[in-house]
Amino acid sequence: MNTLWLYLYFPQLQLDLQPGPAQQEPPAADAKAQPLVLLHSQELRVHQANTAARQLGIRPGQTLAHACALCATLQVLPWQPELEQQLLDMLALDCYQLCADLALAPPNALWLRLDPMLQLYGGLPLFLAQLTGSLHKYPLQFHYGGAVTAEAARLLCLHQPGHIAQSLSAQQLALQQCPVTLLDLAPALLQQLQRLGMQQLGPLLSLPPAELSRRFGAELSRYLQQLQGRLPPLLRYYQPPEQFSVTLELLYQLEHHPQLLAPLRHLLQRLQHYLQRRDLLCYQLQLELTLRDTPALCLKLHSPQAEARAERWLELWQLKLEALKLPAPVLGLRLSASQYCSRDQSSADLYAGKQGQYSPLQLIGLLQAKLGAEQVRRPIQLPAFLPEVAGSSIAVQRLGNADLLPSGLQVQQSAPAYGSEARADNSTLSSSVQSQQPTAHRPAFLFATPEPLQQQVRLLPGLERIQSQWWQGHNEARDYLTAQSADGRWLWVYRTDQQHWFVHGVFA
Amino acid sequence: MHYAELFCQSHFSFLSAAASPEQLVCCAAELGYQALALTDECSVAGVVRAHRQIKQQQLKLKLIIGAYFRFAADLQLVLLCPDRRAYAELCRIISNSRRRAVKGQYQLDEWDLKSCRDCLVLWLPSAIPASDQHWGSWLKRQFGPRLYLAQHRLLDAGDYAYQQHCQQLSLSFDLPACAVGAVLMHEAAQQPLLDVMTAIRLGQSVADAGLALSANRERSLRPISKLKQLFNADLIEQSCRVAALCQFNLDSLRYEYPAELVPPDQTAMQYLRQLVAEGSAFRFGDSVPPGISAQIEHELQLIAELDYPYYFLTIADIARFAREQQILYQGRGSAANSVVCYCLQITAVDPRKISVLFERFISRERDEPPDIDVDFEHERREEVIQYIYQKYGRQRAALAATVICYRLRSAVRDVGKALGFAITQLEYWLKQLNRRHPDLSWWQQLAQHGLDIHSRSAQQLISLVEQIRGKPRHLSQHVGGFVISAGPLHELVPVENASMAERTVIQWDKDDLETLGLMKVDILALGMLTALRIALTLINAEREVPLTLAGISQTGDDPAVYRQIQQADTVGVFQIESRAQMSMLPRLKPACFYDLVIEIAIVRPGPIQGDMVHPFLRRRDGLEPVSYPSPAVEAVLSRTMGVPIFQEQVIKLAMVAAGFSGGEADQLRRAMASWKKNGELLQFEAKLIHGMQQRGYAETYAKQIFAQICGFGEYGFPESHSASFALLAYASAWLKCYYPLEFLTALLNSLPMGFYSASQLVQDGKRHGLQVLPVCIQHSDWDHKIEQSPTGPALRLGLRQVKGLQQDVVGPVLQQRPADGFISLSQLKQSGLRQDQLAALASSDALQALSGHRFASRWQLLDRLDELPLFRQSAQTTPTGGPAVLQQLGLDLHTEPATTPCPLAAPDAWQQLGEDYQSLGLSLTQHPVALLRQHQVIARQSLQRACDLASCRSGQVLRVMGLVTVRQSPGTAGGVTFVTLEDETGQINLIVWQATALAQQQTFISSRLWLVHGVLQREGLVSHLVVGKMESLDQLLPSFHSPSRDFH
Repeated sequence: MNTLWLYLYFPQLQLDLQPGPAQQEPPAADAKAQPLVLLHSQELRVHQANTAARQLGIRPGQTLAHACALCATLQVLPWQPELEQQLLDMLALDCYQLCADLALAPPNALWLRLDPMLQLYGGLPLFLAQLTGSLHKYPLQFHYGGAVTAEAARLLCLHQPGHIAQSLSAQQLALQQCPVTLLDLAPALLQQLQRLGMQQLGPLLSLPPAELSRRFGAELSRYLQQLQGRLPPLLRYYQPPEQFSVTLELLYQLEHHPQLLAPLRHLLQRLQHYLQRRDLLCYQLQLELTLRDTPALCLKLHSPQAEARAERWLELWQLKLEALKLPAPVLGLRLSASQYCSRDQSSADLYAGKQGQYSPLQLIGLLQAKLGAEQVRRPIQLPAFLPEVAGSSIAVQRLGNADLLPSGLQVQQSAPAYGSEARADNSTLSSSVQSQQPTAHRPAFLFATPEPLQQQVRLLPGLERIQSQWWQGHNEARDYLTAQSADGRWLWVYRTDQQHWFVHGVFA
Repeated sequence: MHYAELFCQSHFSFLSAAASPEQLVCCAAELGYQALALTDECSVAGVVRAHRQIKQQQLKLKLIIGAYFRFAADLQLVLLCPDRRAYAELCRIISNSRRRAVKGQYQLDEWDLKSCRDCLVLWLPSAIPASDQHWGSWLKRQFGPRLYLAQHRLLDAGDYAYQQHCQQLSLSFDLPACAVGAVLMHEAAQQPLLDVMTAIRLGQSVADAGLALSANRERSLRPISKLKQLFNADLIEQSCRVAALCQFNLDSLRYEYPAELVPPDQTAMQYLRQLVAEGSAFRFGDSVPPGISAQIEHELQLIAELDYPYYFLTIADIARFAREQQILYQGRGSAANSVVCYCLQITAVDPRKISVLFERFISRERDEPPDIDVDFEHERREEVIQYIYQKYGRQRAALAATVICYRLRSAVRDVGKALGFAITQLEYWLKQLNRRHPDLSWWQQLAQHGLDIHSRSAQQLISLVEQIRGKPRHLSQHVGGFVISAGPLHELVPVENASMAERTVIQWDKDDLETLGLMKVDILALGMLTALRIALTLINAEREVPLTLAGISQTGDDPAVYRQIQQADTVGVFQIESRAQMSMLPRLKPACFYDLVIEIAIVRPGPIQGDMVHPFLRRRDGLEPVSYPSPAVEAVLSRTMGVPIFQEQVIKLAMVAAGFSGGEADQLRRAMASWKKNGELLQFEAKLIHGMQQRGYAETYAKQIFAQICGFGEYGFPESHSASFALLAYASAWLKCYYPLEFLTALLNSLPMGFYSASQLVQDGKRHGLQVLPVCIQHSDWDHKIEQSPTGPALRLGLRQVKGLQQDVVGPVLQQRPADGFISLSQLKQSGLRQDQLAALASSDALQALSGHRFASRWQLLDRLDELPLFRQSAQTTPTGGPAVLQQLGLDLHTEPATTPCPLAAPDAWQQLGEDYQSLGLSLTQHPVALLRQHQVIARQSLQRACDLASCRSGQVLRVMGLVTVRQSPGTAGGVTFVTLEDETGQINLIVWQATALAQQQTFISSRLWLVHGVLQREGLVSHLVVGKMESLDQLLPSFHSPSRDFH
């Protein structure tokens, strides 16, 4: 039996599946939707255009100016190749359920090798029905074409979408009229072929191969041989990412969260087993709760310290679930893991003396589970003049793990107030001065909100005037001074334009 | 209490400071400063503007010239000029520093500082103790008593420590310390602008630029009362003392003309008189008409009185050089059309043909140098420039600068990026900006496309874009304005590198030169002069008495030439070939030289916006009486039947009818030249309209005049320019009439220039019955040439028309071409052409004679068998004849290697056309539209051709088909787009109303081939088709390239 390849092409992958405004309206309403194009940011050319935009004459390849001239209310979004790659991976994973011989054709197509599968599905029509059914759950445009060789399938898909040539002779016939411009060859080579008057594949294939290879070298003849099945295709076969994901259907309904712990423990033990067998640890778990008459509930748990042991994870889940109020009885659980690392990558800090039963990262994990990920923060220093902007904090979760360790050292090294950033541009007068007095008078303790000055103080000489951040709407000028209070504390005070006095911080 | 600011940068420290020199001096004077030193970074580009502002506004402020420098990482200095010598020294240091670095940067050398003997030096300590110790003693050693410590107070984090540090340094090095403001803004409110400029310079957004921005607003001009609190009195007193030492004034720069032009025993005036006398004999023969000789004497007296003989001598010398080299040239500009210039052969316009009033060009009241621009053949201008460099040396000749400023688009892009708008968003908005919306401001237009103008970021964008517009970005070189001096130029003004190699630019632009009364000569390039010279050379090859430009001009007004002009048969004719000009010609019906002068000036934004075209036509046709509101106006407008047409007429009107003084009129003229850039013109509106009303003129008339003045902005067109252009227009029309083949050949050899493509020129030639032969490797030269064909003289297209070929490669190949042409493709291959060049030849069908049709040629070329080592080697060892080894193999170099016959089919008609257009930009076979007429969809329709329109009546409903060649929507046309269609018989002019265009936008914008239903509008010989419906026929066009010049 012949091989049979199917080429699945998604002409506007990002446009169709993009999360956000573009997707709010279903594709059926697309015609009435607002004209929208995706723009190739470097070339400033239209990359994809929705139906509404096409109806106005906007085509991929047009310049932005051209498209804007055609439609004054055009909505323009950047084309994101990485996003398309992710979407393609997602579609590949879906198709992988149907057919295991799968190859990616980035940025927006897939190859499926069908011949081993047809028997299983009971013939081509049934397989195609399955495939289209599974793709139709997305608001997605797609075309397919099939042929004996992978490259021929691609050409047929682009030239005669929907056509499937199951034999070599049918393939040969179908390819006769195929435009040369579709061939997957270097643009310069394509141009050469066209400039010999070869517009279609038929005449090209009828030329003596020896004459062709003498003129165009090996690339063309290798390509034509692959096309005709005399050489095997060079494809990158798809391997699905290995994932831990286990589902547990409950035979009873659970109504309170403490009851969840028992089945969860069971799932976590399976996770532990899975990880240990692979010598892995993981950072993040996802728990999906199937609820009665209510959409499923999805919970995420992140641990800064990679972990395999079920007991540790259970501890964290316990804290996390404490805050949970179940909206409906639980019918099932599904636990999946993501973000793995190998065991030796996460060796503990050799010099960090064990201060309790938890390592610092484990502690952070506990706190996050208890308080919420956004609540566990660490201070950072931003290059800005206004003290409240310069001294800020960021959720620990948004920092990479590398930034968290070893924490002791990092605190001591935290960036001086003005130095490093100011040095980046030494072209101005003031910064070169500042680079010499980097920390000039910044108190160790800064108040979250400045407090009115309500005591007698003695001012020290040396005034610093700060008026910055106008783009965020700050207009006031502040004159900062160091002051000593009656009880001997050193205060950092400022005076506003209106002569109001505030204390902004205390020197330690 | 007095204060003198010694350290202040303007926006000529590009993107490092926010204020203009004008703002700085005005503000400083208002604050009561005694003096202000303008010290841009390694530059004096702004000083003339500050100087002019002080003089114009009569400010009580002393301007000190200086510059700020950074040397090494930790040394910053300000040099100030106490006197002329110090100024020359500063210019030398700046020139040297700039010349060492690439354009836009500088590199100060230790030697520059060591050789600094006259400037005062302000040292700005770096606050790095070790470096300051080092540099303090080094500087003290170098400059001794001329060194001062400059202490600023920025009130930033390090301010207090810095003051202590400076006091310490002052004591330990025994340096007098003075107070400086380190000013970058004229007022505190400029802080956002300064920060945005900083962010643009660093290529970041303001939010990311962090500590590189300003911490506060202290780097502005601060009131003296505040400075008194910040500095102790000694420091301020010391600043005033330093300022008092600086006595140099820019007015004392005296320009010295280069002296070598005058023979040693003569004065310049004597020598000029001698040259003029010789010239008048040449021009007028022995008997100079009495009126002329009186005029010559009058002009010479004026020249002597204003001391401009050197200026005329300099230009006469350049003209002489061009004549000797047989480079065609033509002078124009305010003084060019004088009898003196005619005698000196600077211009060929016979002064008897136009009414010249010399005072219009040089005036006693306006104390400024005369202005003469000289156009040269565009391909040979470089020779003239090199002559100037060689004659005066690079030390004494340089190009004037042009200040490149922020325009709306660049401002929106840069400010938008700095404020953190996404780049795609900005690009999208920029594309939406439509200059055809005169009533909507740019931000209102953006508001329609999603800019929330009430948001903070939008408000900031609007305000900052408006602030940054007109601010300079960098210096560039003027197109051809040369400054030539007697002594080294760098003692007069700093010289820096231009982006073009081997070019140097001074730091001042042409307005600055004018302000200081420095002489500038414009050496410009004009394509038509090249064409005329080539045509004359071709013609003179066959003539005994050579034909010259002046000779054509002297034949008098030839009726046959004017008949051709009146019928708008002017494709290729200088200046009167555009569509607008062509539709004016049959109406104005020029019949003499002065008519041409008017014709050229009238189809311009000035007269059109001033609504002066129709009144003039009516008066000319006798439909309206010629009348003048007053005798004073009659004196100004009598030449043009009471309708103002030329720029100087309008300026003169402002004087006689609105009471402008000479100085005000001059300001008006300058404002006109740059009003698009800074909008200065609007300040004259009220004065002009009010002044005219007061003197009894109607308000509508006054408003018309002002609209006309606005129209002249940037495209100002004085009579003298028009006269010079008219001469070239007449000469080219004359050649088109009597020597059409030579003229066409010359035009094609001078491309790119003018209004039409090679394809359009060739089609026009063919319609006039000229024979054009295709490119052919056996017959073509590099240039197009005239060849005797069996059917008479014909134009043989040259290889220059072939895309992808270079002259230096083809030249040697043509030299090797045997008399009867190449025998075979292999022989051609051995001549040294690269594969891509051979392919280019095949594309152009030039190899037809050797290898058949294009596809067959390419097929053969792709076969590299004969390039295998064996073949190559043999070709090298024996350049002629086949080597024995090959003959033994049965191969001969002069015959093709044995290959199978080409298996490819010949190109069809469309493929031929496509290849022709792609490779040559023109086709000698069928026109695509002619080919399309055979298409069944088209053949059924009854369509008119361009040539049929002449026999159709006005108001008739017609259908035509053609390729879109031009889409134009001029600002003067109120939303109308003029589209030109081309078919095989000529051009069809379409008028598309805005509503029509909008309703059929898709075809209107994207389509290349139109089928148009419309109504013919005819006025005499001029016909337009007003478009009702347009259909796109693009689907019938196989892929092929036809270039269209579009508005977007």
